[in-house]
Amino acid sequence: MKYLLTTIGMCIALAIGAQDYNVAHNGGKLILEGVDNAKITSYDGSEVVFSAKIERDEKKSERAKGLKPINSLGLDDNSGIGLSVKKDGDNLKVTQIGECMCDDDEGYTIKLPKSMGVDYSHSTYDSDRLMIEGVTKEIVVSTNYTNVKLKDVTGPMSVKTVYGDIEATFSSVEQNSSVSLNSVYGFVDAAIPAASKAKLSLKTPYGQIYTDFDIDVASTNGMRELSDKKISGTINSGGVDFMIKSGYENIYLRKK
Amino acid sequence: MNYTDEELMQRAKAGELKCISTLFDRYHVRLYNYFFQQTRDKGQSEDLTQNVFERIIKYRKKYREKKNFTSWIYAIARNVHMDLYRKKRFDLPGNDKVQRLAEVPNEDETIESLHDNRLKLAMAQLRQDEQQILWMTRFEKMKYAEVAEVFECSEGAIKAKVHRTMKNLKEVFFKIIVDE
Amino acid sequence: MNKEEKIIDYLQGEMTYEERSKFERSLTSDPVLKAELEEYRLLFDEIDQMEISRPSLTLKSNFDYMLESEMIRQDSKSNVMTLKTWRSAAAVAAILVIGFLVGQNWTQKSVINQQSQALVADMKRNMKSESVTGRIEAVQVSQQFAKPENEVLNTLIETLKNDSSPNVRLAAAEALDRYAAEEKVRTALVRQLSTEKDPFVLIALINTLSEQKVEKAIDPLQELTTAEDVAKFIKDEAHLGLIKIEKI
Repeated sequence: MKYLLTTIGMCIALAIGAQDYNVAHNGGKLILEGVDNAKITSYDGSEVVFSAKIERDEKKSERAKGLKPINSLGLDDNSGIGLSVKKDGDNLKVTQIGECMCDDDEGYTIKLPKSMGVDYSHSTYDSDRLMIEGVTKEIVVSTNYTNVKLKDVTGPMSVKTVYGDIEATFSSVEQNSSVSLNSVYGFVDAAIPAASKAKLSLKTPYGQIYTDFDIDVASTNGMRELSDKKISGTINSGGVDFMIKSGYENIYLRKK
Repeated sequence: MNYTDEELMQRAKAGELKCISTLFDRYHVRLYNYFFQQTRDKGQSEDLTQNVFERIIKYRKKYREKKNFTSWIYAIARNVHMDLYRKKRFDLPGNDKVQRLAEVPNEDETIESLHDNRLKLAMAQLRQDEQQILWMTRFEKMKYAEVAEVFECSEGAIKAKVHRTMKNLKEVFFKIIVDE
Repeated sequence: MNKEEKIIDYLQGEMTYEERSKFERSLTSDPVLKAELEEYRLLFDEIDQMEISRPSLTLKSNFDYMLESEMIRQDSKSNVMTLKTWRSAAAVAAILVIGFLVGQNWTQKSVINQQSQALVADMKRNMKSESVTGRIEAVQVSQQFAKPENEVLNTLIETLKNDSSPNVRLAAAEALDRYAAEEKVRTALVRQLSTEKDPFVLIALINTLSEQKVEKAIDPLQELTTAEDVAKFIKDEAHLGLIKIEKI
């Protein structure tokens, strides 16, 4: 059944080249489910803008003319670019319908109003990478295979991936709420401004921890707990909870 | 001059390190094959064998008198292997045993080696602990009670495990024959 | 024990004299059993005749080198006694210092109690937060308790069970890791193992339960290794967990 739907999804006729879909939205979160290779950038605007370079298959498109792809949850492609976009309370919920219609190297580019956070989940092999840039509201990411790249972010955030690597560059470390970066089989590389205040917890049972920060290691009853696999401590006399964990790979925490 | 393994280890523990050399001669080929059967990697199997003896030298004082030496050395072998397995886990998913087996060059394919490959193919379908148990009970001819010592569990548990392993192996083995 | 299992024990030499003779007698009257035995014998013969390969000579020379250097080290070890006695004196001093610190702690206890009640209230309030990172922060508060407070544990367990975000459930599972000696926590972790769908949370649960050698986890772990709809890396992790609990 799923195969059939996917096939239908692929068969839809669409115009060649880049296509846009805009929705006006403010505040809340952009919830993305199974959206392949997304690149999310925050901007000064009041619309969420989705764009994709659509690959078009001439022969298949003839047969599906006038039909719409739907997925197993009954959601349909109401954006014309393979995404179901719906309001969900304060949030905007986006689900990819079937296989990605876009050119493999491109994926979806999404522009996001500054007032919105991101909640991204992806569970299959189909998406290599996720890029989130400039988002300062809450970011929640949960993937199995997707590498996660964050640029000019501030937290709060919670990122977890099973196989993906995580690379994050912070423009500052927001003191409202926690930051956690977790990977089971991938490395985690985070760069934060040298003056950032944080209460660190770095853990990698089978990897190594590398940093150029002077970490004030936590002490219990006057004794310092020392281990090269697990470090708890503060930088710049402490601040928000900042947790990095990798199961089997290295952790890098660097000054930006 | 024919000491048992246990006597040799007891002497090594007391300070006569040279005795470990005799134990090495007795066990290194067996251990190497034990690892090779599971990893299909010559270099790695040699490293693992080396690691086992490194631990024996290092922890010789921990050897308990009268403890079955074969059980002891295989318990160490299992730990050594598990440590490596842990470190390497991130590349496991693509690491298909059967596929790797196919990469082993078929030197001269006589009828015997063809047969041998079929058995290896069947064994590669077993889970790791099943492969280990098969090795210990068939090649080392260890008793269920001795294997139980290696796995630190009851003899009954091993017995059940041997039964399951053999049934699985037989099923796969004869299926391969039919498929050919 | 069924017939097949008897055959295996017979060929493995794991039968007593009486069992053997009884088994051999039943062979003459049961042709099906005999046929089955022959199949197994064929397989066992194959196994016994499997080629053994030889390691390279460097293995032996590396070992010799290793053993020799250990022998040299052993000979030079006779004069370390003085250092050892000095060390134990240092240990006694350390114990005295710790004793002093613990004693100091005692007097501060009532103050700590008040503080921890405030923390618990704080934690519970934040747990209701809309935002995922806010709830993770609440979970993180639990790390400030030196010993497991009942209310803290209940809140964490509740979160592990019911929070809609896997990121928060993961944080709860990891926070509970510290308290995994508690029976209540173990039960909750084992139960979650059978219901949890998120792979990352599953891996965290498997790690904690296997590090702690929780035997109750064996059945659900076994189920994970054979379940149809579970990803391979989780099966591997579950399998490794079983090995760690050392009950195969």
